[in-house]
Amino acid sequence: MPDFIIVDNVSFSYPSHELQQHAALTDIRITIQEGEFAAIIGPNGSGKSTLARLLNALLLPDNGRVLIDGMDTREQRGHAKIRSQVGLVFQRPQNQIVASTVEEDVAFGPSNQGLTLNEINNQVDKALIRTGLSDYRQRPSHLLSAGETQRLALAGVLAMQPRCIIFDETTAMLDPMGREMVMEQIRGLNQQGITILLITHLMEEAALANRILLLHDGQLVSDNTPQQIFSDKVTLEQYNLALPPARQAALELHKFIPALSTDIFSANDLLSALPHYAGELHSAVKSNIPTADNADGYVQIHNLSFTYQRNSPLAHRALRDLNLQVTKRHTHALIGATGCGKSTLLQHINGLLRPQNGSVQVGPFDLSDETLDMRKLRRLTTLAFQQPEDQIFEQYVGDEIAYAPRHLGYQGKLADVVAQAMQAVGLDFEAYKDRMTSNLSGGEKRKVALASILAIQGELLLLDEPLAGLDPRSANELLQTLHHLQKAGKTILISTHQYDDLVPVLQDVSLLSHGQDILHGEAETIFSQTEALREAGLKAPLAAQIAAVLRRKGWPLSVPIASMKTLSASLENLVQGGWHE
Amino acid sequence: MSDFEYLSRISLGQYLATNSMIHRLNPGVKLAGFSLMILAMTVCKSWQGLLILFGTALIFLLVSRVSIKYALRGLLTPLPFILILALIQILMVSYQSSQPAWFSWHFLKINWVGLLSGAILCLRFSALLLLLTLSSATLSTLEIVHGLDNLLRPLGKIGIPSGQAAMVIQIMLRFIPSLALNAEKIAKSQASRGAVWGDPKGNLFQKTRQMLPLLLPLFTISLQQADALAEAMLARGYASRNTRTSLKRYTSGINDLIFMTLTMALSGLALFGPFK
Repeated sequence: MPDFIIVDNVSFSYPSHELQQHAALTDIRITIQEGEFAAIIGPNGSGKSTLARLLNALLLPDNGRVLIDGMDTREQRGHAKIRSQVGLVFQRPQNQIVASTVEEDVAFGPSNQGLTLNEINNQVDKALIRTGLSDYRQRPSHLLSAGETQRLALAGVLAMQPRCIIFDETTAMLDPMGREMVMEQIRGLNQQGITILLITHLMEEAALANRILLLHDGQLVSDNTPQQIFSDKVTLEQYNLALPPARQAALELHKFIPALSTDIFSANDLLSALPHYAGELHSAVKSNIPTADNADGYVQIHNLSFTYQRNSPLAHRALRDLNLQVTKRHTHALIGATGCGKSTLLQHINGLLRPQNGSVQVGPFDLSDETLDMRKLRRLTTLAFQQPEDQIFEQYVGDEIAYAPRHLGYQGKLADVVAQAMQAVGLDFEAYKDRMTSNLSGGEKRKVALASILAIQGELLLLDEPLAGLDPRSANELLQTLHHLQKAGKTILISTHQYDDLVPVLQDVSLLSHGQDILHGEAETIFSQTEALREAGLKAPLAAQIAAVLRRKGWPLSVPIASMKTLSASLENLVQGGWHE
Repeated sequence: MSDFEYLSRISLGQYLATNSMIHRLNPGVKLAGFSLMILAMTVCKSWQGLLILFGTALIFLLVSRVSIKYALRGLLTPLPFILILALIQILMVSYQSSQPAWFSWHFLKINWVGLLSGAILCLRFSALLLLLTLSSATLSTLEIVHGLDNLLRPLGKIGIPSGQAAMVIQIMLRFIPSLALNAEKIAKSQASRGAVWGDPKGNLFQKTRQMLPLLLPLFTISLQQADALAEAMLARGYASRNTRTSLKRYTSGINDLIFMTLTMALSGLALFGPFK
């Protein structure tokens, strides 16, 4: 069989006004067979997205050539055919929606192919069924949730009957369940014979592929199976790659359970490989259930309800009789599936939304009070929105960060406040204060946006999905920042999907579902309730899942476990107490 | 509190899928009929004629099963402007007319001619707003696009690309709600950083300056989105010279004929009826 995709010695650089032209890709050679499932990984700026666009003829190579099923992408005439064979699903789904209803959007591609009315209807039906959107046919496209919009984007590509689909960080903005669904779909499509190229930051997703292409600085530095790449210490260290969490966990568990293979890359494999308990039963494990101590809640919310677009035909209820207590100096996470009301709740604490029913008390402020001085409240509690980098508007970094203290009437030298805030997020004041905000990388922008919130020097920080869309390195840096803020005595309330990464910094967790509070408590306790989490549409952290399976297989683990650290400690206890005596 | 709910304030462009008789009309016919009524409302001179058109709009709202309360609430937001305009109209017309004044103070006077023309102005605006709410509730953006495509098709013969024009309008309409959502998000994030919205103090210049931080990111985001959308459209095989086919084919039936006759008759009556 001839190669389906041939990338032959391709180089590409973006036209730029600056003198030093930076090559986005250099001398890339790849061949891909029909039906393959390959993951493309590499840090931000390594050329992954550029490669995707070259394969779809959105970009044309400077040197070398790209052949799709024998057609050279430089031939203008073949573009229509190439684009219907190689579909591309982008990162931000809402930017790919062309039409204002679901069915019309899915029909966009087939319409461009010039299909007849019946054929279009047929393709739309099939694509909607495959993505589970059949009930949404007539729905306005801007009223879909993030996960649904992502599925709509996929449906739009599927309706063109492509032979290959490229996913460009498609899952970055989804909650864990949504991500799992998309991955499930991708696997299904691959089994039906569609070639898949998956661009991702998440190693657990890359591990699902049959082949991994590692890009670094515009060069293809490795092209191998996941098994090979994740066992190759030199490559991993050289390119600062993390292991898939399942493999990390397997390596850790191997210390206590020598029978467990370390050659494991996916969570499902790991969970099914866990052995039954072979040691002696002993009850030396003390139960350690912390008492909830919320008497002095810094934020107190009672029976809060809120309806968007109240009294209109489009009214929709976001919160119902919700209660929440946040303890001072604690880091508290709000978790729940997309659309459960996390963002709405955060906006109430900051006074952007006022309670329609119920009460919100933040420190000394009662948010139902019409005469409340908003500026005082916002000096105390500061809110960072999702993707705060989208809202940067000043030209220079220093001005951007100084905006809030300037408007909230800060007493003292502005430069000091700005410098402190920048230091807290790990940006050097002198090096960055005069840089243009438009020239920063995604991770740097996120830091600037965070610094501009910290410059308010409030006591209560509200962060809405601070980790979403960050590459692993930037995410790690952000965790460091959170650690520092914690030590500085701030109260932090985070709404997040990526709680796996956050477990080490969290004290309390509240689980929301459909606008109601389901569970409150100490972080490890909540995260170890795998059943309750699943009912709310969430996945427990990997360590909690492992602990749950181990318990089911007879392991006497009694303390709540939600992080690898606690899991290791408990296993170590067991091993010392029961096995090797 | 809905300081930031920009989306809910736009009752225009809010499609309400009640699947009524009016919803099922051929979009080209609907578009032509509504346009005719808008034209009639704009040029109609007599209050009786306007009343007929206002009544027609109300009846169509009833038939289309859009809540009358919702439609009338849409009149509330622009009401102050309409009243100010009406007041100016009353004073101007009264001043110019030679009819005896009912009230006068210096050069200000009010007489029945002025009052009548003020009332006509209110009626005209209310009727127009009702009709706009009606048409946006019953015409999905998609139907507007297809309707326009149909109505403009004859222009293709003289070299005007009606298909591309329809695509431009489709995208424009699709971006209205997302612009509103973006504006809401930016305004909120700036409010939480101490920006004061709707500060009654300050002159026009200061107020405009306040808007600047909102407009800049809105502009940047919109440009980025437009860029990404263009890329996504290309990736899905769009090319302007393509012959595009379409998902929908609309047929016309007896209802369309009745609707068109009705609007034409009523508009004609309002315009050329025996009213003084």
